[in-house]
Amino acid sequence: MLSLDQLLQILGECSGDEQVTAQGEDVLDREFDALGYDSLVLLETSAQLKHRHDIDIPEDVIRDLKTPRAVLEYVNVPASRD
Amino acid sequence: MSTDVVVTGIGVTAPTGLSVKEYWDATLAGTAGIGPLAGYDTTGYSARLAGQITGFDAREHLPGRLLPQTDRVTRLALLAAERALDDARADIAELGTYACGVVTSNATGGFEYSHREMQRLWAQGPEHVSVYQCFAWFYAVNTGQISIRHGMRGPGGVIVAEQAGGLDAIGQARRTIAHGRGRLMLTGGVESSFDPWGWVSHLASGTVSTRTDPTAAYLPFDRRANGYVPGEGGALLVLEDAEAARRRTGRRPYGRITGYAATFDPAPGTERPPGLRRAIELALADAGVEPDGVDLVVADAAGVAELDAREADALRAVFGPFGVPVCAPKTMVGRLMAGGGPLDVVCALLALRDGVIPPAVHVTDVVEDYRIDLVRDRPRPCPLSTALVLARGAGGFNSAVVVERVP
Repeated sequence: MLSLDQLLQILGECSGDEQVTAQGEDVLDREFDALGYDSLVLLETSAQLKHRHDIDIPEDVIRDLKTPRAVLEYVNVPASRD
Repeated sequence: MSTDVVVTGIGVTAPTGLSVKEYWDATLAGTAGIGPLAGYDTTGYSARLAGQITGFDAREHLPGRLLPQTDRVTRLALLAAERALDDARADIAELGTYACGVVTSNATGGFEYSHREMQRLWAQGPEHVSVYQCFAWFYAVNTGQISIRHGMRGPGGVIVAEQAGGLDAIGQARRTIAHGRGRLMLTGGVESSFDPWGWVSHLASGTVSTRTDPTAAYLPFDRRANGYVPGEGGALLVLEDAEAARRRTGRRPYGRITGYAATFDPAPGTERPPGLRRAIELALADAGVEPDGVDLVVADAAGVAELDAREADALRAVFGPFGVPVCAPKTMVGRLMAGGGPLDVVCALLALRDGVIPPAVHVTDVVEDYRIDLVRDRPRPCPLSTALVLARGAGGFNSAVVVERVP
């Protein structure tokens, strides 16, 4: 189970911008673009999810996950992937 | 080239200072920034002296977001860029985002960053390499990061020509303005590659001084010349059309860039002469200046006897024996690769502004046969209106820039 805080922590470290983590729940449905996270931050984040939590999000999938909620739903509800 | 191009802003990151004032005060005082390479154990390396920037904490100068994706060299370049644009009081949005561009030079890229990521690659595997490695290593990244940060979407470019590249960048930025393709160009070069991997790449040149006494290691034109000391940092300059700059700022600019030329040496073993003299003559012709109109030459100052002799030959051929004061501010900071030429241009502009030539330090025994008037020991006050800046890059690059005082 990946929590929002864990995800935001990694996004913050990968982007170097730790301020967003303070916004907590507010960011759940905001698009990564709007949060200032570009495709490279998301690629770096997916690599860190793999190293730290053994969560594997393929590159072509992470591209389509636009919000923190979308990432959490993808990784926390594996049965729905198909 | 008919358009009058002026320098309206300067940003400096040098071993002797992180601001124009710090750098210039140290340069006039003859204070050197050369010392033992710090940061790791250099026992076992053939050379151990460097012109290092100390006291630079990127977190004090840059937003956190830029840190995971930048090497030290880019952080220094971003600081120099910000300072130069502030100095010029440039509002990019007002000038037009597509009217402002960036042309920089860099010869070695982001070595420290790459070193760390290569270690991860070998030790942990490819999936552990940072995604930012894809551009953080790249010698083009300074131009890219600067243009993104400041929204400068106009003509951009990167020039690689070892030590000569920084002057080539200035020449290219000047051409861009003269051709009406840009209103404001940020240009110059910044270099930094002193992690162990970068350091050995410097040593591979075979001409880095192996002496351990900082006052005896880099002695251009001296009988004791025995190689050079690598340095880090550089300078970025804001160039604009003179009339547009006058209307925009109402201030007197640092000076004008009135001439530029680059030549390439013939292949070794051919009969043709080296290209430095031709670069000097072409740059003077571009500026419309006769040799006797030049008040100061900032020398390339290789520190390698054969190259020093060649430079002295070129200076004698154009200016006559002892025909022009020669200055070698690199003796205080080392050779900064792509950063060296632009920092010397800054030195020339400030010398013109203040009517004083900074001294070469540590050089005590100039080879008599060179017959050059090297300014040593103490600053030399004298009226100056035109200066020539020279840079040579390993592999055959020769570049020359002419700068003139704005009355």
